[in-house]
This record gives sequence, C-alpha cells and structure tokens, in this order.
Amino acid sequence: MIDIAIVSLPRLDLTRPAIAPGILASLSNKAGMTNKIFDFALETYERSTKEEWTQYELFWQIDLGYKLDQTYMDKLENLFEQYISEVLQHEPSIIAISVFSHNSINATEMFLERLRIKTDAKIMIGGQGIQSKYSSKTFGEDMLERGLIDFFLAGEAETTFARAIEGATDGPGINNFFWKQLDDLDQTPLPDYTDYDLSKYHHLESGKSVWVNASRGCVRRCDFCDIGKLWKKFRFRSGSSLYKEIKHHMTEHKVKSFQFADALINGSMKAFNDMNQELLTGIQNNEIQRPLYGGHFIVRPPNQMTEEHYRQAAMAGMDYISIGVETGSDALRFRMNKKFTNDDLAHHFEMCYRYNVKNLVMMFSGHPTETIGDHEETLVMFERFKKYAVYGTISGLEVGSAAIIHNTPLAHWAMENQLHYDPNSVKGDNRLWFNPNNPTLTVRERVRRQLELYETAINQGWPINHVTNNLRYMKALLEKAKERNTNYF
Amino acid sequence: MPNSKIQIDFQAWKYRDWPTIRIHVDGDLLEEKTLDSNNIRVTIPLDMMEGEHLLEIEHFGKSSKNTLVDKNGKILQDTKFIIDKITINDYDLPFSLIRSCRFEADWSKFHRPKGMPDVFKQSCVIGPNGFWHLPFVTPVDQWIIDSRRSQRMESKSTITYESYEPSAHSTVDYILTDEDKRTIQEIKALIG
Repeated sequence: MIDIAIVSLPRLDLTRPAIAPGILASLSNKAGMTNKIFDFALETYERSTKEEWTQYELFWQIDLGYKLDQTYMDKLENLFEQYISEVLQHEPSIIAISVFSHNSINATEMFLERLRIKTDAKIMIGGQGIQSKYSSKTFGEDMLERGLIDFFLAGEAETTFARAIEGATDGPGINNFFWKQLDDLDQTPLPDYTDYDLSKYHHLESGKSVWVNASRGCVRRCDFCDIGKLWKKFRFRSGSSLYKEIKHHMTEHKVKSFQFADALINGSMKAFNDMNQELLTGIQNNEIQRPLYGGHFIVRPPNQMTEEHYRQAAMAGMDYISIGVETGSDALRFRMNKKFTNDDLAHHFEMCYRYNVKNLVMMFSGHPTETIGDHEETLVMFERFKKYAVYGTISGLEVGSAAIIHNTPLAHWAMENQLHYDPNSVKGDNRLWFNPNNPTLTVRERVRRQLELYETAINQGWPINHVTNNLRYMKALLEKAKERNTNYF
Repeated sequence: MPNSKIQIDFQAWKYRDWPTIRIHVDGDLLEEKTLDSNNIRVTIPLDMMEGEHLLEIEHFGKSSKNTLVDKNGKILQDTKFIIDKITINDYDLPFSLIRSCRFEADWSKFHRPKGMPDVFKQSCVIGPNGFWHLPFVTPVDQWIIDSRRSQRMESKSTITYESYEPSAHSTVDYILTDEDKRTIQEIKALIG
C-alpha cells in the first residue's frame, strides 16, 4: 500500500526519464508520503512491436486526428488495462498523472476513463498538457467536468501539488489556472530518480543522463512559441544550487550527462556563467569529474557571447546543444522575433568548432509569412555552413513544418490577419492553415519546401536527425488536407 | 586551373641544417623544400580526380652530423620536423583521419638507435630520413563525413535505433532508411 502513485504516459521522449515525476516524488517524500513512479511511456515502448509503436506514434499526435485500426486499438486498450492493474495493486490513496504536452492527452484520457471506475483514490492531473484546448475548454477542465479526475493542478508542482497532497482543495492553481509563478527557483527540490531504472532509457553516446531544470520562462518571445504564455516571468536558479544538483546525480546515480529542460540555458548570461564557474571550481577541486551537459541555447551576437564564454562553458562540460535557427533568412528570423543573424550564427558555429561543442540545429519550413525568397536563402545557408556539418560541429538537423499553436503571438497574428483556420479546433500543433495574404504557401507547397530542405541538407552533408517520424507525419498531413478537400491543400 | 589545394603546416628544428623535404601526391613529386624556419606553411595547388589518393612527405639529406648526442646517447639537438596540420581543399583533416598515417624510416645513413623500428604508425614527428604516408580520399568533405559515420556505426555506445519520440537529442548522424526513401516518393506523389 502506498500513499501516492505517480504516473507518466505517452507521448514522451525516452532518451532520459521525464523530470516532472521525479520532482513529484521528491515533494511527496518531503511531505512524508510513500510513493511510486510508473513510467508507462517507457512501458508502452517496451511492450509494443515496432509496427504497433509506429501506429501509436501517429495516434498520440492529436492534430492529425489519426484513427487507429481496431486491432491496434484493442492492443492499446489491453495495455492500458494492465497499467491500471499495476497501479491499483499498490492501493494508492492518491494517483497523480503528469500530462507532459497536448500529445499526452489521448493517452491520459484513455487511462482516466478506465481508471476512474475502478478506484476511489483521489485522482489529480498536472503538467503543460492540461492547458491544451479540448472541445471548448481546456483538457483539465473537461476531465474535471466529466468526473474523471478530482483535481487539475496548474502551474508549478512546488506550490500546487505540494498543497493538494496535504489536503488543499482550492486556492491558486487547484482546479483553476490562476497560479502564481515561483520567484525563488532555488526552493525547487532535487528530483528523486530512485524509482527509475535509468539504464532502460535510450540515452546517447555519453551514457546515462538526466534532465536538470535551471530556469523557467524565456527571454525571447518567438512568435510561434507558447512559453511566454505559460511562464510570464523569467526566473533562474543560482549556480551553486545547480552545482549541488549535478554533483548529487553524479554521486548517487553515476550519471555523467545532463540535459537542461530550460527554454534556454543561456537565457541569463550571468546565471549561465555562474553555473560554469561553479562547475569549473568543482572540477578543479576534484569534487566532480567534468560532466557533459546540453540544452536549448540561444545564438547571441559576438559582443554578448564572447569567445571566452564559449571556452569556459566547454571546459565546464557544455557538449551538445540545440539551437533554434528556424530559417536561413535573416528577415524572416527577425519577423519571428529571434533577434540574431546568419553572421551571428557563423560566429556561434566557429566558436563551437573551436571548443568542440556539437549542435543540433532546429528549423521549420513554411512560416505563414515565408516567401519563396526566404526559402531560397535557407537553401543557401546549408551551403554556407556545410563546413561545420562536415566537421561534426553540426551533428544533427531537424526540420519541421510550420504550426500555429494556440495562444501564441503567431496565433494572435493569424486571427488579426484573417488566416483560414478554425481556432476552436486547435488541439495541438495546427498545421492545416492558409494565409490569404501569402496564397501560394499552401499545405502542399509547405511540404514541398520541407522536403527540398531535407534533400538539400543531405546533399550538403548535414546530418538529419530521425527523419522517419517527420516523413510519416508529412504524409499523414498531406492525406488529411486532401481528404478534407480544403481549398488550401 | 588546378581544382584542389593541399596546405601543410610544419614545425621544424635544425642542428647545423634545416630539414629538407619532398612532397608527393600519388607518386608525383610536387614540391621540394627546405623547412627553414620553426613554423612554416607549404601550399600546393594541384589537379586531382575524385577518389583515393596518397600524400607522401619524404625527408631526405639528413646525416649523422645533424644530430647532437651526449655521451649517454641522449639527443641534445636534432634536425627534425612535425607535421602539424593538413588542410585539403580548405578542410582541416581531423586527427581521426591523420592517425592512419605511417612513417617508413630509412636508416641507411644512420646508426639505428636501439629499439627503433622501420615503420612508425600514427606518428607525425619525423626525425630520420624516410617517407611519411597518408592515404586520403576526395572529395574530402564527403570522406570526413563518411569516416565519421562509419566510426559511429562501429561504436557500440551509439544509438542507431528509433527512439520513442524523435527527440532533439535521440540520435546523431541519422542515415535515411529504405522506408524513408519510400515515404519521400509517396509524399512527392501526393504533392503531384
């Protein structure tokens, strides 16, 4: 018998365990409550065939509205019945489900529908996914209204979850979205990974790794991103607090590799440099070996991010970062509010080459204002930075297709500019839209450009990451657009 | 017009004389040179077909008088050089590729020190006379990429299977599968 069952469900990245359940476990420990984590995202991967998993992958992506064949649906339902038995066998008095994103809500709903009728445990859900648009409400509100949960917890677990497990039934963030953001992130507990078998996750060359959260919020307001809506303030942890956490995981779990879950690891240059200094001191004093760390990184002009900053970060362990380049067109990138140029990018790649930091370049094709000229500049950019792809400084490239995510600056702009799409139907990453002011940019043209980016990148030696799922998605998107016979296909 | 360029950076030392070298590509002598300063760069324009090639640097003309040893046989000063960096068509060759080099020493004009072999593998430090060999492939950029990929494929710690979600960090150096190529054709058919 346990006090709290902590559940995570697909769709999750399985490179390393999600951080949220670890934080919930830690908060439960702090409240003196016994708990157990169930990572059913990993279990779904482990208990499915490749073919089943491929189908489930499409099913989780809710904006596709993908219908599973009955055979796959039966298998998935059986799997979820097993999960519920495994949880209930521990007779928890609280079941807390982490809903990572909008692509977790299909799994969460399926789980809740089967769970509610079998238990009188208090059921609570939290995470970014509960704010996803669902029918005319949010997912959290809908689940509450249907009686499938007792509480949805919005905002940060340190406040809402901690209060809810101690019996609070109302207040900021409990069954409402009026939560208050923490100012002092150093209060965040260390995530507790003791329930996880870390070796089961997929990891990278650097071996076992875990997430670390150094900040919340973002110093940019990129038009396609909803971080600014979710986190009004940019708050970050101190260098010493981060050092303590990294040292703890290195000692307790023999983990050498860390991935920051932040919107940007160098959002605050002061905090970024402080953390690197703390790590360097720890390395020099032989308290830790040099870790390897990575995370999302904003490209900054050379006067903001100097060679010395790169040198120190690399010595402190910065090893593999992802950067949102988005496009090769400076003008379009500025329209997105990214605030850096291709020349800044050239400085960034040169520094990373010099100090051996690998980059995953993230881009997308077909922003609603993208012209054919912008697209062609992106093709040229692949050639300009080919050298860094050859050397492995650019060690991965992901190219997605433009989505209009609910409540982002781009979604507001889309409404003001009469883009054709149904904002009420937006449940996930809406990719079925049409801009009458840029009429040649149809779904078909966007996919054509995306494919051309893949092919050009490959020809220029850029290593594309995991393109399989993107290709499947592109095909499904085209079929969907065609099936709807929309004028923007 | 030459379609290629090889650039070699040397560090050199002398005792009585500076090292003299000949640079050959695929057996053709392209340049003869005295390395007459501590840091010296040699740039050679040339025409090359795509494919496999051999760069050879010949050290010649050195004799016993170019090595100063103490009474215990310890070398105090020497005429020698180090191949510091090789750049082909503006690509610096990474160490992982340079280490396929080997040096075949010619001891005919020297007393061979005890334990010294005929062939030194993975050495860019050239003391005795002899030939230093480095195989390379053009186009160089593709050679560097292919070599890295094959090293990754051989590495047991590299993830090459599909992760649950195409995470930003799940794999590196992904190579298109047959299924990917098929899907691309299907997408093109849908685009029309």
